[in-house]
Amino acid sequence: MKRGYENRIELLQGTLDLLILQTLQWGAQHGYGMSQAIRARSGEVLQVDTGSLYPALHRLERKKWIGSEWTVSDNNQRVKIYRLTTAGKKHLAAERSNWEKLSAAMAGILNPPEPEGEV
Amino acid sequence: MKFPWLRRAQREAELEAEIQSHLDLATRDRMERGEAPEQARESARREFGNVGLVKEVTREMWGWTSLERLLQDLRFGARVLLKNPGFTLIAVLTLALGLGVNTALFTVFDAFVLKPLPLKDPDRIVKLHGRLREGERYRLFSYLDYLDYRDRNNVLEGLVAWNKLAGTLGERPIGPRDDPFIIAGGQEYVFGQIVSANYFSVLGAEMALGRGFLPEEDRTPGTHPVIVLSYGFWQRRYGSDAAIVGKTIKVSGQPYTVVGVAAREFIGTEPDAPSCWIPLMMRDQLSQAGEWQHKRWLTERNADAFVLFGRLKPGVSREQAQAELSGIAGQLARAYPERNRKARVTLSGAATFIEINEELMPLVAPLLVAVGLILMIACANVTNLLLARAATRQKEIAVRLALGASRGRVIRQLVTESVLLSALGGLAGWLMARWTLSLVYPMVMARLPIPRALIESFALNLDPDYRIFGFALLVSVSAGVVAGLAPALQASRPNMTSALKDEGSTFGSRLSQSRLRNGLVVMQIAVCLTLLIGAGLLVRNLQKVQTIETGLDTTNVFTISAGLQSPQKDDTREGETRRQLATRLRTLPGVKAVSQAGRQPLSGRPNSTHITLPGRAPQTDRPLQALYNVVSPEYFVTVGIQLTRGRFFTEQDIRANTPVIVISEATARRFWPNEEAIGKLIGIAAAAPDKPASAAANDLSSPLPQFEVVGLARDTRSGWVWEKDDTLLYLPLSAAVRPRAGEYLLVRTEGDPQSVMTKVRDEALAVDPNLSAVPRLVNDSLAFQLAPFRALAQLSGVLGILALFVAVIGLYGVMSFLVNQRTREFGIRIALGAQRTEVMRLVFVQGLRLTGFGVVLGLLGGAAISRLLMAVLIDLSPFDPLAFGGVALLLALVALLACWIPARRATTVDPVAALRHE
Repeated sequence: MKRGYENRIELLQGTLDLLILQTLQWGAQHGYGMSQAIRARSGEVLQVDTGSLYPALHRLERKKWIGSEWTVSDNNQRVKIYRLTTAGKKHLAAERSNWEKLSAAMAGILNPPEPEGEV
Repeated sequence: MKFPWLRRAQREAELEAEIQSHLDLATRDRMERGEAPEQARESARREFGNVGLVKEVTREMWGWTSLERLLQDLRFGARVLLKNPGFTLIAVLTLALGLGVNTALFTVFDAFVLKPLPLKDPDRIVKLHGRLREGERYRLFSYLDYLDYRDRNNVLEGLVAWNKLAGTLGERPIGPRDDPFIIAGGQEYVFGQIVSANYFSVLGAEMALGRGFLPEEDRTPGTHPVIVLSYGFWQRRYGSDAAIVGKTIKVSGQPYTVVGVAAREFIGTEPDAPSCWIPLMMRDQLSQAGEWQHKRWLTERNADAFVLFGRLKPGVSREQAQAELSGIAGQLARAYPERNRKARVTLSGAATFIEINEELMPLVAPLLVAVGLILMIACANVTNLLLARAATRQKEIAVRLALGASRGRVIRQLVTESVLLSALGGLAGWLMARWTLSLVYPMVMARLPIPRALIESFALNLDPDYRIFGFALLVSVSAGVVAGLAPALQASRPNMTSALKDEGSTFGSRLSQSRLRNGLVVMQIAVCLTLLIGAGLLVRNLQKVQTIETGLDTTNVFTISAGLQSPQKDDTREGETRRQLATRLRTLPGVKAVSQAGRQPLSGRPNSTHITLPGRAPQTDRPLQALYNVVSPEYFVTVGIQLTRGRFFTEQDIRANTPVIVISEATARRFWPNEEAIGKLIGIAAAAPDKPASAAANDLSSPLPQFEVVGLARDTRSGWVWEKDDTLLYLPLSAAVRPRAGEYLLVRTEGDPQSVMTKVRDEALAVDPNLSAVPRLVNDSLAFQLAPFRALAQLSGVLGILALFVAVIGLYGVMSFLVNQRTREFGIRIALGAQRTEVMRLVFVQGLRLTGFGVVLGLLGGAAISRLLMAVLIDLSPFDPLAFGGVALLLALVALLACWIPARRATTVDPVAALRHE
């Protein structure tokens, strides 16, 4: 049962990937920074814990959608920075359009148009 | 690609660092928000979560490369094998025996039979065999015939004449014809060949030093004493002396100049590679006065002294050459009718040492079959063991599947284990093959009664043969894979619950799997029985041959080959000296009887002669023949031949030259089946003056001298121990015309003959200073003839024991496992009230059934093998009850024991414990 570790908010695996890729779109970042960014941008709703984040990062790296390197931060700390690759950018665009299609479809079902003729 | 575990370690370190850096960043952030350092660190850690778990799940994302997987499998497999040392040891040992012995045997076979000789284009080289009118093979040709064949043919590029030579390195030894198989003290023997000058060029031999022979060295007798050494001999004896060319070596008293050393890989055409080569024109210097065709080989067409081989011209087929050479043989037979008995010539290939033909096949086939059978047993064994063990691990496999392993992974791992086992077995087998060849082979050769120099000259390359080893390894690895695969496939089927509950090991074991296992057990018993029967037959054969009735009493009898050494030898004088020697020997103390004979007993087939029976028309195409020996009157007493009717001839008969003979009972039965043989007349060609014993059948113009039968003697086997003399005539010494008659003296002593044997030489010198006499025990000849039988019996005994050992191990292992599997079942039965004996009977019956099937099949196989062996068996019924019955009984006992012991153990266990048994 290799389905990977699921995060607490029951996000699908693909969704977590999308979040990470999008976050990296805004700039290269290390793991800690990414989790803080996602938290902040989602208004404290999405808190990706380390048990999901790091496996996801390594998985994405294996898939060559992101790349990593070790550098030194401003505070003279050694950090591992991830960045989006070209393939990753393509995959991100594809996932975004999928996501938009999905949410439009969901919206269509969850918010059906008002039936005609009722005042 | 870097070593996977290095990469892995690197990744581990990185992950550790990454997590650490995450924690540091989080701590720093908290500290910036105002928390105390310690507190910050702690809450950062808490927020992070379980570091170990995070690492774990992250690692999973890395996955495994196939190499890493393989290594994991290997490590695990090795651990499993080490945990079951007994099983591992048995399996590896079995494979080692099977593979190792097979490889060793096949290597020897290959060296003799299959490997082409290191000659130029060995396929074009052919050996000539003459065939007599009666179809017998005759390998020797006379020099004059050789010249005719050489000059008249158009199919050969070159025809070579050669023969073996045995000489001493140094002075000529004492004795006219030293038997090379009796090594007198202090002599150094050398075994080489005398060859025509074109020997090296026809074979395409290269020289390491110097040159081969020149044509002029082959023209006139005795003029060119030159010698070429073999590489091995030059290395061994002359320490690779680089200046050897030009030096002189003395062989049998004659100095020879070394003109060359052959290349390292050149060993000639025979397995006993010669140490040196000498031109055949030097033959007289090498042989001695009194020896076979001394000096006459050059002039007499009947003096068959050489073996011939040649190289086919390009584009000529063997059939064409054979036809033409046979034509020449026919021409020679017509031109010299009394001198040439060869009707035609056949050719055989000289590309390998021994060419397999219909005659040799029956000897070789059983050996190959045996070898194959051993391999089969070994594989069946290992397969069985693996199958048995795999069933125990069903639960373990089920658990692994439940924990998330993929089916493919589990199967891969099980198969890797089997392959690892086979590989270990292969390695052990390789070592065993090397060991067998390097230790056992010389031991076996040392037992054979041949001189050391001859053994050393066997230039066989006995490195274990890669091909057969590779083949056998492939077979065993495949068996291992199949054995691992079958249960793996079955066990990893996703029917986990029953496996987890361990139901699979009691009543529910899959029928097909146990049928396979039972089948393997039956096959093992059958194959092993077949092999053992074959071995048993060969051993019994030896017993029979050793105790076979030769019709002679050979204890305390020795022969003397005596001859005059002087160059102007005169036959009458020689005969006289022999008689005098005989007289002198009779007076020695301890001597019971002395006689003379034309042939020594037990030294090969007696000579044959044409005969005529008066009153019966002589047949022109197949004239009557009989074996004969020329003897003095005391011969019968000396060798212990019994008289059944009539009388022997006496000294008076000899002096008066009365034409009387004694014949064997078989002869009487053959020629006069229902009549009294005594008093009948026979015409004997051997006694005819000026005619060689084997005159051409057409030439019966003059009647043969008639002899009257005066006595009948008991049948004997006086030539080869395995051949009954079907006809034998004893001619008195006086009747012999051939100059070599009576050349052997036979002496029977009261007690140990050794004391008398030492006096022989002095007595001979007393008769004539040029008379040399060499004594030899008749029992030694007998032992020499029996040696190959003994070797064969020993070899087959060893093979049989090997097979038995391997099969017993396998049988015991499997049967005891089968029984152990059912421990729980037994526990239940006993708990429900069954008697222990009943349960044991259950087990026994199962075992009995399997054994029964196996024995029946094995007996059938044994019958097949005995048919193959019929060529080698002497006087032994192919269904010898002792061999068949005894062996079958033995094996059945072993099999039943293999059932009984574990059954007993299973039923003596406390039922409660048995019920809990997993």
